[in-house]
Amino acid sequence: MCLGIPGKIVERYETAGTKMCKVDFGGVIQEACIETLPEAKVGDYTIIHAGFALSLLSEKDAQETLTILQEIAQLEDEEKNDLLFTSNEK
Amino acid sequence: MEFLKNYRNAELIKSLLNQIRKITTRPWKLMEICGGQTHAIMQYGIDQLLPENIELIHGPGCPVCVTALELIDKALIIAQQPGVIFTSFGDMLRVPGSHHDLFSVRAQGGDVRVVYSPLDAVKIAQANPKKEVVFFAIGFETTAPAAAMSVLHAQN
Repeated sequence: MCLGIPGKIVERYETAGTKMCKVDFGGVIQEACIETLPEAKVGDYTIIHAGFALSLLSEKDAQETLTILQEIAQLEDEEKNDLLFTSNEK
Repeated sequence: MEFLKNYRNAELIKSLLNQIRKITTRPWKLMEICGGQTHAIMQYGIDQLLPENIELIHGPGCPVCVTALELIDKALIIAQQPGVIFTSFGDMLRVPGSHHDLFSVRAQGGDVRVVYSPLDAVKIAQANPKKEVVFFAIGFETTAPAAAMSVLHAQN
């Protein structure tokens, strides 16, 4: 719920007068609303939460956050394997 | 790189705890902001490892954590009505009400759908003009603008 994910704006458009964009999350393209961030341009990095852009951020900050998210995913995988290993031992 | 090994390395943890003890020169109150943090701290006994001078306060929680039981019970009743498409963030589906949760309403044939954004509920409403589409607008300052924006967007 609380996770805002950084992505790169690849397209801007309007739907029924609402400012929308397509955001590239490391290869996955999703639609998001940028009514809250009208100054956002194609090529900018932004944090998206629940389909809405929260703020702009630098490419460096975006990459750092993405790296941390990947580490968390890896940690979860390791934890699953660890549990599997422990239950096999019993 | 293996992360878990490092988190379970007793020597590393001891040295970190020593450093925390060294800098704890006065009482500290730390508030967790998320129920997930509280859960992890309790599950792994981190609260018992920290110096006594550090007091943990269980903080406000996210929109899902703070949703009152009464609201969930109301949502469950709405979701069970015929002709209703009930939409919510995925995290809400497993949150128990007094008797059951939104997942069980779905299992019993209720049309409960997960949306990533409140704007998705507007799309569902456009595609289903004969149905009553309800979005469970949980939360506070972090989610209220998105919910309000979606109402505006639906009007337009």
